[in-house]
Amino acid sequence: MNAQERGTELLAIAERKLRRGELGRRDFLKLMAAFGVAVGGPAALAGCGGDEGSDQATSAGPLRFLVAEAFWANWNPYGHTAQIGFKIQRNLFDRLVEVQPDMSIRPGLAESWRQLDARTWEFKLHPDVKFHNGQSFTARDVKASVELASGHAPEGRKLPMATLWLPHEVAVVDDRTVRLQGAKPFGPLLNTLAITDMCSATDVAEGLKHLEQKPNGTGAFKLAEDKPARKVLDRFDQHYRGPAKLQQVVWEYIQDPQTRLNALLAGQAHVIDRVEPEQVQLIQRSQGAQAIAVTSAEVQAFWFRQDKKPFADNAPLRRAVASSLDRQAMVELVGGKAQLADSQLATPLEFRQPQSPQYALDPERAKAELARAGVSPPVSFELGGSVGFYPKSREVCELAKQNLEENDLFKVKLTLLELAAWIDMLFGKGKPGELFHGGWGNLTRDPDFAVATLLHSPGAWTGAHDKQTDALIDQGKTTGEPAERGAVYDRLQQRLWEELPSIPFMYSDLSNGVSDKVSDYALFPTFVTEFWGVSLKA
Amino acid sequence: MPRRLVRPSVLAGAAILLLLVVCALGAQWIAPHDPHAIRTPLRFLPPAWQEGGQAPYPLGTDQLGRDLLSRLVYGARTSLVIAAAAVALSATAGVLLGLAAGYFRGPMDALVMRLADVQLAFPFILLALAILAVSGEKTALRIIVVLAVADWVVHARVIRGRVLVEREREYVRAARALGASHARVMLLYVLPVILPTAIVIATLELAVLMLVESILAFLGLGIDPPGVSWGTILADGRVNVAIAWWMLAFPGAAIFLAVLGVNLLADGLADVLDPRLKLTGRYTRWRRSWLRRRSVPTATPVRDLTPPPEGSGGEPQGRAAVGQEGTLLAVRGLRVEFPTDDGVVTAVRDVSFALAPRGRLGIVGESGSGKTVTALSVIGLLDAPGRVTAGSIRFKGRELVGLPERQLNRVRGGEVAMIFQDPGTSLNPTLKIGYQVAEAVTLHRQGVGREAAREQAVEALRLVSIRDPRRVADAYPFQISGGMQQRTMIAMALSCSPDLLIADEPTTALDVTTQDQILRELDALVDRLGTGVILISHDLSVVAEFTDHTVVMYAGTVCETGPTGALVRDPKHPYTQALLAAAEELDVTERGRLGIIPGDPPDPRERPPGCPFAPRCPQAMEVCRVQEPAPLRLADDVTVACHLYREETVGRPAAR
Amino acid sequence: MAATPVEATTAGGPEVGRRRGGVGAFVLQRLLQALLVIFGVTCVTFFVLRLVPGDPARLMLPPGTGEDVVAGLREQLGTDQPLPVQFVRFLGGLLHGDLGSSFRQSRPVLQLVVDAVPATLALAATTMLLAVGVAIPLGILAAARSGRLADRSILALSLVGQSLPSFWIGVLLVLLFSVQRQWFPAIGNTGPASYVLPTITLAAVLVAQLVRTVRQGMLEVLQEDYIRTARAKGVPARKILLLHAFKNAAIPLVTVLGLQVGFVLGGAFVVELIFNWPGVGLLALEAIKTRDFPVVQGVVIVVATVFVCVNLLVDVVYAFLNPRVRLGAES
Repeated sequence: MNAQERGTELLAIAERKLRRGELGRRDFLKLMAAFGVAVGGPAALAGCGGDEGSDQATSAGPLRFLVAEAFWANWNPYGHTAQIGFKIQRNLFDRLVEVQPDMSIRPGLAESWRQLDARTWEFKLHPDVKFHNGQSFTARDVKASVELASGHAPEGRKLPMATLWLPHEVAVVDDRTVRLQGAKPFGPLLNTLAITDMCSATDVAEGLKHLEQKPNGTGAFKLAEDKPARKVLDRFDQHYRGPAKLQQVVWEYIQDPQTRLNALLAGQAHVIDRVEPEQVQLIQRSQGAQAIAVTSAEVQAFWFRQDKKPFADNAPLRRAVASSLDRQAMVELVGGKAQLADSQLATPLEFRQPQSPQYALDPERAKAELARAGVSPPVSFELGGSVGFYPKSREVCELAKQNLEENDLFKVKLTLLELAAWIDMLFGKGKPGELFHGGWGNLTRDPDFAVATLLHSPGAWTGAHDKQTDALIDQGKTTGEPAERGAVYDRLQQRLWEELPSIPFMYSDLSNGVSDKVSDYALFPTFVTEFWGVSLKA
Repeated sequence: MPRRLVRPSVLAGAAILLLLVVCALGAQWIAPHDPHAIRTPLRFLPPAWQEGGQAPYPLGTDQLGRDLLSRLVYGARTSLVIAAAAVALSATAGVLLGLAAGYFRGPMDALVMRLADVQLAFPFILLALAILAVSGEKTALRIIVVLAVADWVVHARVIRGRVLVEREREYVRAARALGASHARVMLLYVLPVILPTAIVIATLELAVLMLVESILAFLGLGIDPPGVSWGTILADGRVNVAIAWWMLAFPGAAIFLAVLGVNLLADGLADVLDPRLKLTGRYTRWRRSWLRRRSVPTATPVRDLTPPPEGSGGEPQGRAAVGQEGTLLAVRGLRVEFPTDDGVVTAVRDVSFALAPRGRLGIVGESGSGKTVTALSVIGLLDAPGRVTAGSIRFKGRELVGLPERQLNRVRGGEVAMIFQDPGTSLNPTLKIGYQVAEAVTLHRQGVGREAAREQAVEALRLVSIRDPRRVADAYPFQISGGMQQRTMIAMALSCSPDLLIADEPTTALDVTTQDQILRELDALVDRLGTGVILISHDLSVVAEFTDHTVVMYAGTVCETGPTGALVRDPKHPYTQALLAAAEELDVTERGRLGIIPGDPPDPRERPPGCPFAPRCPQAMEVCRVQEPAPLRLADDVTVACHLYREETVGRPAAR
Repeated sequence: MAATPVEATTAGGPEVGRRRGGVGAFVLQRLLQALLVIFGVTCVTFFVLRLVPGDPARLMLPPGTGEDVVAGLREQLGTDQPLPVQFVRFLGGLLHGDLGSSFRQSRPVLQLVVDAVPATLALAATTMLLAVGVAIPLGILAAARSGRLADRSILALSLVGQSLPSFWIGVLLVLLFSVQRQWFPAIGNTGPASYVLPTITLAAVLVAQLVRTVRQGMLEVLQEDYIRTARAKGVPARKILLLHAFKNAAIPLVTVLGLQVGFVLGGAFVVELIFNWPGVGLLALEAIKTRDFPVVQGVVIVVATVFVCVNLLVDVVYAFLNPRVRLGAES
């Protein structure tokens, strides 16, 4: 939406709140100011505006897609859990089931499926599916892929993908039928299958090194050119859903967001990933491109190190911190389709429920919690944040520091690092830092993905060691029945919201810039990108 | 000295720097708001004069609602402090290392230079990234270290170059001879001399480092919050340029102005402290302006000349000997002035002489007497800003003063040739001898092709008694001896058979034996070619041997003129007498050294009234200190300017 | 970071001493020095990289992977060995022309770097050509009209150019000419048109400084006696400037140019970032982020080698231009 619409929406919200008596004077002023900016911004740009318009000479060339993350080092689909990997693999491989932009599941390589018992599921496969190298796709390939992905370790070490699975045995019933059986019931099965690419059994048999060399999938595109920062995908005409509309898609990694934007505006790119909210306005104002946005399944939060003082085993103190942060302001800093977080599970996820209380900037409450925590202010700690990855992370951290120090309840040392150094600080032995700003992007809609790695002990990320949380997470993972799972996750969310091992503040905005020549391009809240149905005007 | 600093550009630079320092020191009082206060409702406010802007935030706000003006003021402090500290550090290290390298040379020098090479070969950005990006906090100290590490090389190299020159000087040798230790010599003698240079370089690098700090910030390597520098504001601005152009424009402008200011100041300092650095080239004295036409003097020369009554004895000296049409060169009333910072200096006043075709004229005097200036003005080679302001120079009847450059170029070399004192520096080191000689030919002889010119050049070299002229023609000036170099100059000058050759101290720079040889050869050559010669020298004996007529100059005026023989036998002017007396005192083999006359010539900027020689003249009278003597014609060819000879006593005064 | 014009007067070229054997021995000496420099740079890079925080193995695995897995990868990469051992191993590989394999990509570093180097070199070369092509005529003009309007304007422009942050120029150029008016491409190396903006960005400051250097060199040469001789011969002004004077002024200029190549190569990193120019700068910046040591080392070594080679070339050209050096001992 453009500035005008945003302004109107804000006004409508303000009115409603005012009527309901929820709006304080401060909030009202903020909204007015935001409205002013939203309208005044483009006006101020008048000075900079040039003639946007002359389209570059059109050509029926390939679609150019600029991404914001460096491509992964190799092509083993189970060798990483990096977003960029899943993004490009979505187009090179297929999966038994596929997730849609609206987060629903549709059949993929599996035409249909049914549950046989608590631990066993049966899948019926599509006929006439071919790999890029000509081989036919059969049940044997499913067996090899799922067993490898779910935890079998043929060469001694389990692959990273396995952390999302429970080990499964796959039985080949016939060429087109498989049965998956886990050691325990596996709740996230379908959601996890939705991100488990199907490889050829022959490739798997040849070993991991072979898998890493080049991707041989059944996907709508095959890999034509493989450079470190640039991948060219050519249409695979024998794709089981029919050939894609695009003949070629060029993926290019450009680390600087401004440069990506310039490329779009200069007509050198058709789609750019990870557009920052400020840039959205510029795209909207220009002719030839538009910005699309969605609230993603990524949660940005402040994680406590629960194995260190002062936050270890001190929930009231953590709640005091939560009451000393202006989470709403942080969301507004980021803008776009970012939403205020009200649970550790983001909006697009299954079984999520909004939680209360809405932790807001409330010094009285913070003081009360501090008293309950048995510590006297100011409490000192170090906040570690990263820059260069999440938009506005620097500003969010600066605001957090200001919030926390406003009432002299806390004394914060702010350390901002580039991503690699931040990772080092988070995971390194003996490194400082008691609170971290970070994000967790959910690749599936399954709640297990959102909490298991992060909040289950022995949490490398957060030093978690809460038995109750652990039990709930385990239960959720090993419960098959949806209704049962729902109940478990209800309890889990409540507990997490009370214990606050982390303070989520935002579900991230995901915006892309799309040239007007592109049709049928849709955003996935789970950060994957699919080009099968996308077409390019000549 | 201070006067040269007072230029608008330097003042502007100093003013900007002063503003920076004020901001740095008094940021708390100048900045209207707290630069760190985050006010999210006030994000992206445009500057106050634009729609949506607010008066309390004159330059707008940034992405967190912080006042841009306040951030710029605090940023000034950071940027200045970081850059200044870094420069101080790098200058200290660089100067010390450069000093050591240049002074001790040898292995020390090699080590420092190799270190510098490694430093230069290493891409700076990577170094900065390695130290800053990866090691966590980006404190001011770390940034200062990074900048200093990258910058010391510049200081070291420049200082080293200077020290290499200085260590060869007298005062250093003297100090060492007196037993001073190396450290003492370096720190007490050499260091103060090179300190001005070091200061200028430091100022220049201050500007450079301010820029570099902003580049680092642009790459995300700027100081961590809550620190704020212009670079970090600029980096924020780039990201948000779409909706907040002021975030990019103002810090960029601030950086630009600050760096500009420091650069201006550095230029001014360079002029004053170390003119050798010549950053702007504001030469006050020896500026050459090439394409400027020779200025037409304000006073028309002809007007000053009173045409002598026909038949009277009051004609300019030398004319009577030959007849008007036959005069090769006639200089009358020549006056040359140099405007300087301290006022107008008259280098030559009221000089008159004449030369017949094939005649030989000598001009004698001490250094500073104006003899070279006179010679140079004949062919218009005066160093700017010197100008001929009065008088006439007629060559073959044609007025040379005021002649356009292009026509003068045809006269030079072709009709009037000149050779200079030091042949070693008077030949172009990067052009072969043969080319330089042939060039004269191609310029002035029509229709001579390159091959033919080359042949003529070889011939000219043979003419000046150079054995194996072909080999010499193929050589460079530094490959031949001083004597051969001067012979080359002569060959170059005479290759086009000019009518007049002006030789300015042609043999002074050569050793005695060669001097004799060259003079003799020159004598024979000009005889053969029928060239008129003006020989300038401080050595009366040389002039005595070589010339028909002599002009004696002192302090820019003519003292005495006359036939050389007569002048030497019977000098009229006390100065000439003193010269002769001094020359006779010396042994014949010491010819070439000027005899000692007690006293010094007057400073041309402060000429007292009266006769210039009066302070040193043994026969000075009252009137000599009051009134300048006019030239008086004593006989046909003889004139003298001295109060000892008065109209009543000797004859009519010479016409001016 | 740039060499100030004063370098022209005091750089004095390579350490010219009394030398027998003319150009041959000279080149050999410089070659040896060059190797020393490259070795020095290699050492510095190697140790600096490994002494900063950030574990490449950990970065290659999903964050939070167990310590045992990380340790296993470290063993694979060889980063668990003590530093001196790693260094010796690296040197050994270097002597075989093997720069190692990238940690991230499973490609040899040499290949990655060789793929990226031409782009950077092309950019640097175009920049130098542009800078020289603009700065030399302007500098000569300024010297010829010293003190007059042309000179003052050129000096003023040069001062302005030196005071502008180069990346600011780049950002503005992209904004004005790629985004608002789509005259030039904003990113990548897609043909001659794409060279324009990056080259101007990189060359702007360089031109400003070179103009001063050329001007200064010319002014100094114009002071010399042999210029006076040439004037006395009646050589026309243009020939004096372009032949007699410039031939001499070019000698120290060549040395300055060699130095500037280093700064151009360094400045290219920033330009590559703004324009996404696929050169070694971009490669190195990314490699540092991911602590891909071999790639960073490879880039640094290659850049240093290029710099050193260029300076070697400069010294050869210097020797060629300066008859004193070319023809050996003085007579």
